[in-house]
Amino acid sequence: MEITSLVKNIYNRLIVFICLACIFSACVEKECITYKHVLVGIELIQDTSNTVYTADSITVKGVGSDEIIYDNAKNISSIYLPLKSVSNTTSFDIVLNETPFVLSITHQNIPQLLSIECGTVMFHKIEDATIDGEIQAVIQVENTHVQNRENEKHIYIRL
Amino acid sequence: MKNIFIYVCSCFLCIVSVLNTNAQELSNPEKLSMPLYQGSFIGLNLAPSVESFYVPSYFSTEVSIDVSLKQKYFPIVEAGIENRKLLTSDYTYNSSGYFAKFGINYNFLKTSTLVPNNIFYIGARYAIASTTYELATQVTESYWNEQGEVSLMPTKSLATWGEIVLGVRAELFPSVLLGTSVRYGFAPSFSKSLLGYPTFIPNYGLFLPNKWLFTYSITYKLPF
Repeated sequence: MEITSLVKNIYNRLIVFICLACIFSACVEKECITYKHVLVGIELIQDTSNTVYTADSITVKGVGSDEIIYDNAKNISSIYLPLKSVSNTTSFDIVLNETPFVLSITHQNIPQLLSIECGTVMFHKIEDATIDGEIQAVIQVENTHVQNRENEKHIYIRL
Repeated sequence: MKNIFIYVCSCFLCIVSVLNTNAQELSNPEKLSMPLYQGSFIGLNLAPSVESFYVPSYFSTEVSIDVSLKQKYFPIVEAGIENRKLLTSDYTYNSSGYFAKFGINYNFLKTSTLVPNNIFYIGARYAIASTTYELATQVTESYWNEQGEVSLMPTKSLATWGEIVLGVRAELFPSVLLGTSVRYGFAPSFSKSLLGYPTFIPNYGLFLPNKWLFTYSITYKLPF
């Protein structure tokens, strides 16, 4: 009989605990707290010293878009740019220290559902990156996976 | 995978060490005479079944089979299926899969001939789940002002995780038992063949680094 009463006691306490846990979990407001921006990170590198290069000024605009992403930004060494979600090639007009060039990135687009609260984002897998213009630089794809991670670098432009 | 294995092994070692400290109890002649096999139990986890009833886009069921060894050790296998469909104006997500969990429970209560089936236990599980998922999303907001649908073709993924379990099971009627458990799920991992990942893992739910899980079960003691 002692064991039966002990089991009942434990069972009752556990039921109460679980009910309270459910009530408290139901009271938590469900909102998206996940970082949702998916941007390709590009870092400028001084090729001779293999150190981060800080540009005096940089202007970036998407080819085919009227909106300027970086408007004559000063003392900048890395930029974060949005890739297209439907097309597989994205190009940017870049003016680096008054030297214009076009950066083109080819990529796969992979949709990802983060959660019911956050909805979907578009991940990208970089396949290739090229630069075309007057600038003397080498482009290097360091990380092909573009996800919703803050300040992650994917492409190095070696000057 | 390696971490889960270490965790599960650690749990088993803890259980074994606790059992060793109870070695004095084994010197009891009544316990020594107790046969190893004390019965088999088949159970149904009620929570996913109830949720399947009132959420039309979700179906899941889970059954378990465990064996009583000297009323102390309960090796257990839990298995089930889970299908999920989310349909909004922005996206459609479909997933279907199955899962299996292997582990053992250790009963804290003293062995008894009066209420031999009542247990208060701690346990560990190693879980594995396979899921196939697909996603179609409408692109509406973007710097590029694009519009269109982007789809992810059906993608298969294999996931594993570990669980620590604390629970109780008591006889309501002869051979019919009700139980509940609180579980700490941890270290989920999945096959990384693609850039994306399954948003929902069968039985584990939304992919998070760790989470609390609850079960409410009805169990039948088999007559052999």
